[in-house]
Amino acid sequence: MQIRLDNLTKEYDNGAFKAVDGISLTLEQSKLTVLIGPSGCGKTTTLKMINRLIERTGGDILFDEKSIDDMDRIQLRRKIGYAIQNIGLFIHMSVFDNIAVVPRLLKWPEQKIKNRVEELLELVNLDPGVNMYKYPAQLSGGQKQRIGVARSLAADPDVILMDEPFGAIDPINREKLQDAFIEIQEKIKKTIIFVTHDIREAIKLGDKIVIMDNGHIVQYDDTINVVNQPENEFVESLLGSDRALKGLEMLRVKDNYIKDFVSINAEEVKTVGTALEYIQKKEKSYAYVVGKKGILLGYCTTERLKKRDKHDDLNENVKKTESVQPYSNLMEAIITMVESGLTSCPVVNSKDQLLGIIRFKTLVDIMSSFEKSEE
Amino acid sequence: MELFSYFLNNIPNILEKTWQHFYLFLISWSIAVVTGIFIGVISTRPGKEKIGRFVLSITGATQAVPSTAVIALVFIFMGIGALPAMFALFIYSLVPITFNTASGLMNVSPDMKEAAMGMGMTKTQILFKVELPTSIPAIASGIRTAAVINIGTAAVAAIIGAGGLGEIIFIGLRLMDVSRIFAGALPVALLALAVDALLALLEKKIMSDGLLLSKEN
Amino acid sequence: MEFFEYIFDNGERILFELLRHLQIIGIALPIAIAIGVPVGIAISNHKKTANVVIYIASVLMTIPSLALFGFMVALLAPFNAGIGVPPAVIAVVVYSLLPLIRNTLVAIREVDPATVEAATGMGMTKTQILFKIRLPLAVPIIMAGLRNAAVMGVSVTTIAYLIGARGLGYFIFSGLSRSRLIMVLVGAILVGALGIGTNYGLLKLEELLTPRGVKLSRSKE
Repeated sequence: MQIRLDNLTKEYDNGAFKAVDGISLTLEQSKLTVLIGPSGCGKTTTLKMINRLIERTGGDILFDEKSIDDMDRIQLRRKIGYAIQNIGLFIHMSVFDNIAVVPRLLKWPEQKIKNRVEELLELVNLDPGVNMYKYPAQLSGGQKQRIGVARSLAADPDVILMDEPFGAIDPINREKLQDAFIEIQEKIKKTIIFVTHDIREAIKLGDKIVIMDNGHIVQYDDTINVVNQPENEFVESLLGSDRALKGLEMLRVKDNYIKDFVSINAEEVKTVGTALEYIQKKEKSYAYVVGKKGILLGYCTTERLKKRDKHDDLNENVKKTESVQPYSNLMEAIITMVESGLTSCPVVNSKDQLLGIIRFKTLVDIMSSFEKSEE
Repeated sequence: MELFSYFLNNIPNILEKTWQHFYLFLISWSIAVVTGIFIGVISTRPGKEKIGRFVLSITGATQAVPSTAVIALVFIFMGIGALPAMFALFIYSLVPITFNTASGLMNVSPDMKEAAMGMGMTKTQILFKVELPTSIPAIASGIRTAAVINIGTAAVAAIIGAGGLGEIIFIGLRLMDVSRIFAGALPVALLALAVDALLALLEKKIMSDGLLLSKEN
Repeated sequence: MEFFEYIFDNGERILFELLRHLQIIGIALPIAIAIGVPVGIAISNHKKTANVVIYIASVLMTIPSLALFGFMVALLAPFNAGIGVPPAVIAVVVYSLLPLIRNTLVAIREVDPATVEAATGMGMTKTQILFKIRLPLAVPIIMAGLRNAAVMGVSVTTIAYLIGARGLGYFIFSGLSRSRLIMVLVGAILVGALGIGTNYGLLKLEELLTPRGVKLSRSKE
């Protein structure tokens, strides 16, 4: 479903205050569009006009070129997913019943609902067997937020409105939820309109960004363009001076890692001596070590190996390291490298099998390309 | 024991009075329950905040009026008998039920209501699927309180010819017959305790497990 | 109007009974506080005992006042204490226990654990925390329980007339037996006004005693 905002306006006090001032915008299907701006810029008001929680005062909102007025308000809301910051889980209903609300309103058959709930819980990484009949009071903040997301997807809407859905959790869990959400969106490819005030979240999640200020749109473009070519000083200050670094958050590991790297198979190479020989032959100073089925065990450096006896067991000289996954972003890759001190960062899949590496040099090249566009 | 003498010797009479008493309670209280919840609901609808606040302040204030005063006032305007008594009991029970219903509904989490609205529930659906279920503890509390004070006030209402167990107590007081007083007081107390216990059980049954768990938190 | 005539003609009697009424409540409430608050404090650390105590107090409160009076007359008659002011005072005390104990409990328990932790970290002993932090924060909540008890006390004392305690119940019950409507009306209005007045007055007192900081935090919620 294509959504178009046409000169959309929201006035209060008989026109004395314009929360949203004649904005026009076509939202791209299957993309995540972020609305961001300072407090009071009108982003939440705009969002809420789309499902008519707030009634507009001027302009129109068109769904596949059909005016919003031509549709029944209640039916419209049942076709659009809605997730808010404090989630608003129904405390008297189980997780199952919470998610099942809209499907039941739409009179889905119970078996279809049950399948859908199981599917959604797996999608948000919560074991259905354990969680389906729990109550909100028994869930942690992060779990509640995931249920909130699952609930908004329940009736398989084409469009989902999200108003700071990850706002109420601690930063660490928020990062995890954002990563998980990126994976989900890759699978479901819905049209999502996402309000946030956190520029890092906007860059990380958004395919397109709408920068708003005082009820107007300041810039609307693909994320990479907004980061590379900010429209004016306002956008620049919103992005912050570490734009290049923030830019790394937009890029995914999966698009930037290489599969050609030096690794040692601990199933075949057992001694320090053999390992050292191998690494030196490849003219490297370190190598990653994998075990059964290609699972990453860690790394070993020539510096360290040289200090050992060549008959020593290799396994005892492997140092563990953090890794990133394909859906992580390059910022996380850089952080991992800084912590380990290596010039690369290993990329693993969900089973911890080593897929490839990201080189530090690659990241530096990317950042330079951001910086060049600043000039 | 001497204390039980009147009781044991007049069981049919006592049973009859108990039934009368229960009847006074049941009719006046059940109508108050329906009316009170109704008023509580309609005064808390979106857009009607002023009415809600008004209802809350009136019922809040009148909860402080002693039961005897209500009986007395009804007597002045309606005379004696079971009907005026039931009316007094109805009014007196109405207050806590309305107060608790209105207050409970006003305290429903706005986030839940917003989520429900955003998901496409109609206003009626929000009322019955979200607001009322989550307000059950408050409403039930009001209904229980109303029941207990109703039974107690019904005893006093005997003074305006309502019948019931209060009659036995009053006669006992007049005659200074301790056994008689006891024979009236015991069933009243037991009735109140029994009704309260029953309602408490019912409340537990109706409250969803989810609510019980969140109350524990 | 006959109504005001009656009041003027019987002003003295009204005042007398009013004072009598207040006297009973005035004796009972301090006793109830003296029992209820310490008990509340004492059981605040023992969940199981607290549950039992609250249960007993609430059962007592479920017993209708007329019935309670009936029991007291029946049981205390041998001691010549079944009628008059003593049983009235006892009844008001009994009914005041639940609100006072329960509110004290709630008030003490609901102090923000972070506040207590900070105080402990600063080196306050448990007793100091109790008296400098928990109790001052508890005062408004306990006051609410007291207000609850006082309003019930007005009602109970009105009925206590029937067991010889006198008080404003005189006008209502005596009026009823003599079929003097004006008397009944005066009684009803007086008693009603006393109830509402007590509630309102204690509410204002509660607000006065609430520490300013608490009021400000509450209004932010």
